[in-house]
Amino acid sequence: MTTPDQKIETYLKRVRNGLRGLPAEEVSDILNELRTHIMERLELAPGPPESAVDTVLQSFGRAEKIAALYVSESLVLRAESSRTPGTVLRSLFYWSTLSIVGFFVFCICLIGYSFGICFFLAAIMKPFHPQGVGLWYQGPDTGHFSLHVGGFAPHTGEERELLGWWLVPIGCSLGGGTILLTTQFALWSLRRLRPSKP
Amino acid sequence: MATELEDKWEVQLRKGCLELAILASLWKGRLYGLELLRALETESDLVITEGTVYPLLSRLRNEGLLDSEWVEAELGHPRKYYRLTSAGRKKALMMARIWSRFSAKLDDLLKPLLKEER
Repeated sequence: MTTPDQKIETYLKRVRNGLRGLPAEEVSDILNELRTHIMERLELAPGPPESAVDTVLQSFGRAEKIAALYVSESLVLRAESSRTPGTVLRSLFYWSTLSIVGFFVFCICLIGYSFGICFFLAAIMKPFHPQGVGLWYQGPDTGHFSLHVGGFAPHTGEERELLGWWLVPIGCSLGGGTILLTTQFALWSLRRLRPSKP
Repeated sequence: MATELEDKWEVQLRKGCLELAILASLWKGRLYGLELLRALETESDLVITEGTVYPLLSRLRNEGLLDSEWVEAELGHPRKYYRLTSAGRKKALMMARIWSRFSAKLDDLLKPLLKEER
């Protein structure tokens, strides 16, 4: 026979499981507040606690949903306070484990940051490896453009380099711009699309 | 179908008003979670799943609109009280003004509909 206290603790344990990733002090504060509410509701409920506890916990809401609301709030806070791609991606990754929308936003931002880093890399590596890094036009036969970073692809001599040293400022601007836009999109998505309303 | 639509619309409307209702409930002074829920139920007709009010309070506190403190009760459990910060009071006032202006205009627009229904 499970006592009301055990039922409450089991419920709070489900909330605690959903709060993984939050600082321990915050988790403890949240659980204390929820426990106080549930205990007070139980004292006010008519009838013996053994029969009232289920109704009280049911009207309190699903433990996982409550935890998800707290966590999604914390994700935004963490992402907004640092704004670095690493922290933003970590927050998005956690969100992606909670919802399909989060998963898509995570994928889009991962692609965005990857492009941003590639543009930066191209700009940084151009002075060290001018023949291997650049934007090349492969001629009218193929009509292809290609951006080589690190000189991995051998040149046949028929291609024409389009940007030359302009690759450095253009790569920096495009890299910075792409990373900035991706961060803005991530923060906007976290604010607007995450579960935040009761 | 119509009832489902009505329900959805009403739920969204209530959700949209929740933040204003919470800030307004705290206008007169500090309240703890359960008191706040009672105030919402009796004074605003807003009924929400109890546990979900706490993440919302946490968000408002993180936004700097609310302050919170644990207070030892003479009888029973210690309670976490919430009060409006000066930023919270400003926001509540701003939201109340917008709501009041908007709802007054909408009331005028709705008068003919409601007259016809009678």
